[in-house]
Amino acid sequence: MKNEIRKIYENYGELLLHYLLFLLSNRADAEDVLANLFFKIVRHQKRIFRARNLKSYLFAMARNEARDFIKAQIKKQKLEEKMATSLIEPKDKTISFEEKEKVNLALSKLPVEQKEVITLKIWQGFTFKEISQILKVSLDTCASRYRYAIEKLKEELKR
Amino acid sequence: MNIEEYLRRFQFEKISPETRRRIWQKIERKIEGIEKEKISLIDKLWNWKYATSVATVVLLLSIFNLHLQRYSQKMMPVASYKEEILDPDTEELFAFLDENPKPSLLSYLNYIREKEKAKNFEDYILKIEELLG
Repeated sequence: MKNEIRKIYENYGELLLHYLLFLLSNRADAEDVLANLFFKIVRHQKRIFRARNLKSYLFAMARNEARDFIKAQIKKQKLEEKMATSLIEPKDKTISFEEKEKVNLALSKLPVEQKEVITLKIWQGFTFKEISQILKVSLDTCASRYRYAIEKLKEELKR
Repeated sequence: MNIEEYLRRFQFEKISPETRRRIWQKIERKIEGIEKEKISLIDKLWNWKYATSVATVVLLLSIFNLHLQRYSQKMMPVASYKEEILDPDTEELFAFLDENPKPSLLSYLNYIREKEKAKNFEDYILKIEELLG
């Protein structure tokens, strides 16, 4: 059992952590939620190994886990103002540190539902169909969230 | 500027091996917790199951034995009455049906048995009378 879970962690752990970072904007919270997510994976491993698209299934689980975490935090009134976490970095050195900070700031200003479509589409490589399955919304909703997010980012980055 | 292409020039910040290891250790602890929980549950279930299953088997065997004894006692005479059922005396059957408008097999068997007892008793009296002369 442990080896199979370890394989899942090695293949998807980092991607899931990035996604959770985007959703929660806090590294410690994202790590805790990721550990909880794997706890659930162990519990429901039979169902998970039967999933047609394991990656989409795991992302949908991660999203639910993050949502439950946020709900619990609100209940406990622990949702304090958090430091904006740096999420992405340039692939090459042609992009300056200031530019990187600007992009991260622009991303942090997006509403969560737009931010998650952007991360799933651009950096996680999901199709709109897969994103709609993960987020449990229609394809049109996904596409419009993506469009709005791109427009907002454009405006933010022009400044 | 094509914003999508621009964003693709970025990537997620690398997660350090230490962070990866730390998270895996958290997960590992949770997995071990689940395994321990499972083992203790199996132990509990096994003890509980073992005790109850042994008791159930003993109980079922004794009930079965009791029923078997009763059944064999009942079936012994019934077997001989079957012949009469297969070849019933028509008059006797009609008499029985008169007395029992809604007969059941059991009531018919009882009826036959009573008759048999009476018959044996008559034979017994006749034998005694013969002996007495």
